[in-house]
Amino acid sequence: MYLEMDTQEHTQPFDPVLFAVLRSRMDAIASEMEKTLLVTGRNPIVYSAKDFSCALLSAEGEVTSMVECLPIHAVTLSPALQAIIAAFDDIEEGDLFAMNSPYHGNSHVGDLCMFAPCFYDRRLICWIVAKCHTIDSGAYLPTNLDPLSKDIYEEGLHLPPVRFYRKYTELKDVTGIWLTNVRYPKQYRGDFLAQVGAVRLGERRATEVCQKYGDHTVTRFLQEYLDYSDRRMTEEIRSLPSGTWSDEALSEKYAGMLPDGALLKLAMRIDPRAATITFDLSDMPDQVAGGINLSESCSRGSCVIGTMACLDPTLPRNDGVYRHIKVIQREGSIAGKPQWPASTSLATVGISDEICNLVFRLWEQVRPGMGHGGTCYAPGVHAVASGTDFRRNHAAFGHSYFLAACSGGGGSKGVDGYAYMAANAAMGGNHTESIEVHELKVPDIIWENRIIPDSGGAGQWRGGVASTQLVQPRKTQLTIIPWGTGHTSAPHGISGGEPGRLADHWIIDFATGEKVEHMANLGRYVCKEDQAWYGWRNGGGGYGDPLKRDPERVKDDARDGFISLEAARNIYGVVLNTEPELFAVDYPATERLRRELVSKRGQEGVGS
Amino acid sequence: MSYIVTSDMGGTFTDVVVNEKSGSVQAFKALTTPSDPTQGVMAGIQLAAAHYNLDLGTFLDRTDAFIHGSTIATNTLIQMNGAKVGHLTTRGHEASLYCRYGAKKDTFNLAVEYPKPLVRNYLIKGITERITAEGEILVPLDEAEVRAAIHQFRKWRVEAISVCLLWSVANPCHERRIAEIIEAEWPEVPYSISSEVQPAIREWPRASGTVLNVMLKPVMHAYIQKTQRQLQGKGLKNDLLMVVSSGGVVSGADAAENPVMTLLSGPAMGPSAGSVYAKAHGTNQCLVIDMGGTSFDVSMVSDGRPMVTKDMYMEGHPTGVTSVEVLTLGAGGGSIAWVDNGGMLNVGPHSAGADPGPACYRRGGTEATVTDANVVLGYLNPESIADGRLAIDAEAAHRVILEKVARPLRLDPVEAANGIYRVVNQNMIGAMNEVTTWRGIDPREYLLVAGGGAGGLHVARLASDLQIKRVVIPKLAGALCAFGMLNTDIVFSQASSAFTTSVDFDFDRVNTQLATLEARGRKKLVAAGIGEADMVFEYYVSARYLDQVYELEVPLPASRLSADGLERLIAAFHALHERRYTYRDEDSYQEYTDWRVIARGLRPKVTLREQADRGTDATPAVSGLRAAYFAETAGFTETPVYSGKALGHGMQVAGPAIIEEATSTLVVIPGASVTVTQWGDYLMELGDANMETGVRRSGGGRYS
Repeated sequence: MYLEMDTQEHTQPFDPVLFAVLRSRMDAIASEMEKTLLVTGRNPIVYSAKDFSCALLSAEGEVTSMVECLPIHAVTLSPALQAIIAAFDDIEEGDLFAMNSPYHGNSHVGDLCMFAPCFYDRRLICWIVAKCHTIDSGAYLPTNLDPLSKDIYEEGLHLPPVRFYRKYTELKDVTGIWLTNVRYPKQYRGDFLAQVGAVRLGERRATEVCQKYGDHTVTRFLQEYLDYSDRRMTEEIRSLPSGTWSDEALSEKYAGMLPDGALLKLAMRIDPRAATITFDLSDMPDQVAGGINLSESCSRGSCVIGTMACLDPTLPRNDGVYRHIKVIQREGSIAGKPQWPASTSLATVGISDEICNLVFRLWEQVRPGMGHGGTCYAPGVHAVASGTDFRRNHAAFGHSYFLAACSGGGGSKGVDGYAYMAANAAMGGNHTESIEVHELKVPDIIWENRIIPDSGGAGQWRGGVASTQLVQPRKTQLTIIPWGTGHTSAPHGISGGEPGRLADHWIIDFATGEKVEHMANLGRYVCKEDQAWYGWRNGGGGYGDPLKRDPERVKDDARDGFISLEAARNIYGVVLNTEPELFAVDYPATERLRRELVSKRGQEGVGS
Repeated sequence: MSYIVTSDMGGTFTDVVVNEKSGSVQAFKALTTPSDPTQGVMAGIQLAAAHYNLDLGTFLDRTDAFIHGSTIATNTLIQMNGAKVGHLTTRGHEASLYCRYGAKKDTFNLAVEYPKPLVRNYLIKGITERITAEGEILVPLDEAEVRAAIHQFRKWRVEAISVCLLWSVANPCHERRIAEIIEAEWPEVPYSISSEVQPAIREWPRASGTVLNVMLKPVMHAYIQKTQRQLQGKGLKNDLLMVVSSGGVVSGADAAENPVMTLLSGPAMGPSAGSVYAKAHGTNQCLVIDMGGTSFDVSMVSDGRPMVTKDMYMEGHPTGVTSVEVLTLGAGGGSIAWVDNGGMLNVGPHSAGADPGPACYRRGGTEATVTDANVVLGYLNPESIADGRLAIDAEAAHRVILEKVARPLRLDPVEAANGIYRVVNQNMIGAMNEVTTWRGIDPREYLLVAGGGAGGLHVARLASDLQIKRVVIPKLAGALCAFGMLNTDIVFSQASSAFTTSVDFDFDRVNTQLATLEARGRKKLVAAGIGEADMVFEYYVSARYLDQVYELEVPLPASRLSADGLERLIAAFHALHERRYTYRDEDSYQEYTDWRVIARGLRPKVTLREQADRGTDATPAVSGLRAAYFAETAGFTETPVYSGKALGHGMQVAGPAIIEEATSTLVVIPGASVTVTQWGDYLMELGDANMETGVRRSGGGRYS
């Protein structure tokens, strides 16, 4: 069999064509793993929310190929692998390691990482990883997204780096610890198999590439890929202005934990010559006794992904790029390095999403047009809820409600906000559930999933719209544990745009529609059979002055119910003739009204 | 003499293929006429008639069957100029067409336009009603609301109505009642209800397919009627047969009633064409590729069955129609090569198209394309192609490759051209892997059939990379899809939802469903004039493990299931799941969701005439020598060029060689050899070559 490994000696430049060929081969491995895990998963968190990421890492543990990942996972893989490499000195072919501990580099306890080394000819070539949100982590409450968990003992079982497989054989004494602690073990086992399957698939494919191109060529390629990515990012940063920028925002308020919110202060320095972007999180407030603290890798992640969303979207997504972003983290802070055993149950969302939005604002300062309106947060209606299913002998079930996670993204210069963004952690990478598939699996009725008029922040480029959710349990009561954000802190508007709508939710009496209990962003609630759980999600923040929005877009928005007629007139200054039902813009009247609103705005500005 | 005539209307050309009773097959190309597509079809038939020295009337009079595939439905969707649709759905879920499944591509990129929905929100009306997952009526239908909505639609000059209610798959009574109301209130308006168009679980794809169907109805109805009238006016005796996405044909009337079935036309014929060659070469497994100017299509036949998908998307909209699975990639002769600021060579997805086209076409193209690379490498004739009809400017090809690729990469232009060639090959290999190895299918066991104007230039490298040993390059490579139409059956696919599991399998319900579906298919076949002896039924179920939500479609072991049949079904699913996703889960029971019966009315298949053996010596067909680049010979080597017209059955050509046909060129790499088959096609056999596409074999720097 022909191998060309020896043509790629270190002394000569790497063949640029072979380089392009191998990039495409290696990226395809990550894509194939993702696709396999998506279709073989057994729980909505996998097959609907797509709350997982697959990637290839170099032998040294730097992410090289990661195609359609969840953004927040991007920089949380390498530190986790470093912990595994440090913990074992007998790594060999057939191993599969697992871990979920944020104190060992992981994102948060809900994400279980599975890493397998890929050997060829007894030499370590690369690592394969699948990181997957599990339906449970064995906490005292049926959730692994618990904002009220005070420390790691309340948030669930922390697995440090452990070996799950040796010589391709499951070590049942170790996996048993995990599988025994997870609630609904039967429901979970399929996800476990799917995750192992995806990792093994990646390993097999990487081996095939070694067979075809030579293992030394592959090793060298991985290095070259990181170098290439490094060059792309260096070029990108060199085109930016030098300087320091800072901004701050009041975080979401959480009753009983952070009743007044925390002041999130962030500074960013760009050094084009050194090709570095440095974020300083030193002034972040102290950690709290609750699950909203960020893990070390997520606090770094929030700065990295916020930045990636403002730079050239064609930059590679790997550590060759991310290594240019430095983050100064303070020990014991809510967004820095948490002090053990603080809980970081919600590290991938909440404060991390808020910092990410703050990063968008910083980039808008650097160069107008680079930033974005605020992205929606994961609201309270994204809760973990549990109950029993009368259709399955009253078996207990737990469900992560990601149903039509239709919350709006922020507007960007030239583009309205995406209507389905989920939160910055996902940036639209989550999938939503089919209502029918959901009702087949969960004993409830989804009565409503409607677009809320005026939920997207007004702007020349409007924020993405949000929707409602009305859920009624069937012959069970739902125990709901929300982990929301965006109930007190709205996604910001930018460069004249307005903020997106706040999220909220209630328990209502189903028959009368009356609100029975207001639900906070976190807590523990029960929804009975004759009640329903009703909520609103966040809209995204607008970009630019709404009075500059194209009147035709305002007309279409009004007609489609994305904005109200009042908003069209009062906020966008557009006069619509609604007499013929097909609507029409009254241009002369619109011009007059817009002039009026601008001058009124000027007077208010002088007065205040 | 009588004929079977097929026509495949593509974006640029309308191909017409004629199969004579004697077995000869001829292809003709006419320009597509977008303003009045029927004209292009008629022009193609004129060419054919002229070829047989017949007037149009006589030719059509002798035409036993006329099969047609067209891109009208696809174009209507792309241009969004179908009927203005008003959509009725369950109250509270008006946003379901807008919401989709979320899942934005390219996650880090926030400045992405939200996809345009098929129906604007103001044209969607929620109706008070509700059915549960178990099919019980939770809230009865509010008929007054339905009437009010219909009147509103009428006032807004809606042209068609679609209806998709939640759980109409479990109980279609509300949708059916709405249909009655529409017929009573507004009898002229075309409408579709989801439980008839696509009774499958998942409201968004079902609604999307229902809307697409009714949106296309007026356009397709008019087009089919006009084409059929013209043909029959000129002498065609039988009704038109139309190609459908499932890879079969139906009557023009059926296609007009269910036009969502016609969204995938030409490419759906890939497997039908491939099957002819697979059968001729003693196998029932083949991969079919079709590479043209802008795109590359891959489809597959496994165990004699085309690979199908339930999730066929068109322009980002799910169609819900079970279709031949065709993976399409933006890779063709016109694909543009470019280098990014980190020094990465990329090819596509942008294409120079036909206008301005590659730089070497002298039509003002300034980008380096795959065709330009093929000229620089000596594969394409450097003076003219297409039988001398298209002049080639080889210097222009060199110039753009030097500027756009070689300089930025610090390569010489030939290495750069070879780089473009290798990268576009790799992109195509990626697509071929996606349909094979990603599904646990070993491409080495497959025959590769290569069509399209550009397929022959690349196929040897694709095959050697995938270690495929045998490749057929049909003589009619340029009209592969129209050729495939000669080899189709009348196909009706009937599906319904009935949820059951392997532990409490509802034999009665399932067997009743299967019988109903079969009866429905039989009725359609009878209406199409198919006799009982020519009817074949195939039975499938969509199955998954407990708690999974994506199903795999498994052929049933029998037409009705008994305890023994269930056992065999369970085993078949375990095996399929393991093959496709690396593992099986014997601890888990299986869930069955949708049942499907394919009713197939067998049609006469293409008959090919065998040619006389003309001996192995191909030297008389050599038209000249040309310097062509092969990695194996470390650069350019004088390569014999054969004229396809002069080659005949039995002749053998050893690589390196180039065979020039009227509309395509075949590159035979060193180590490969080509034999002309008894049907005049090329069979290429590859040795043990297992190289990445066109890499140099040994040492040396990267600069030559």
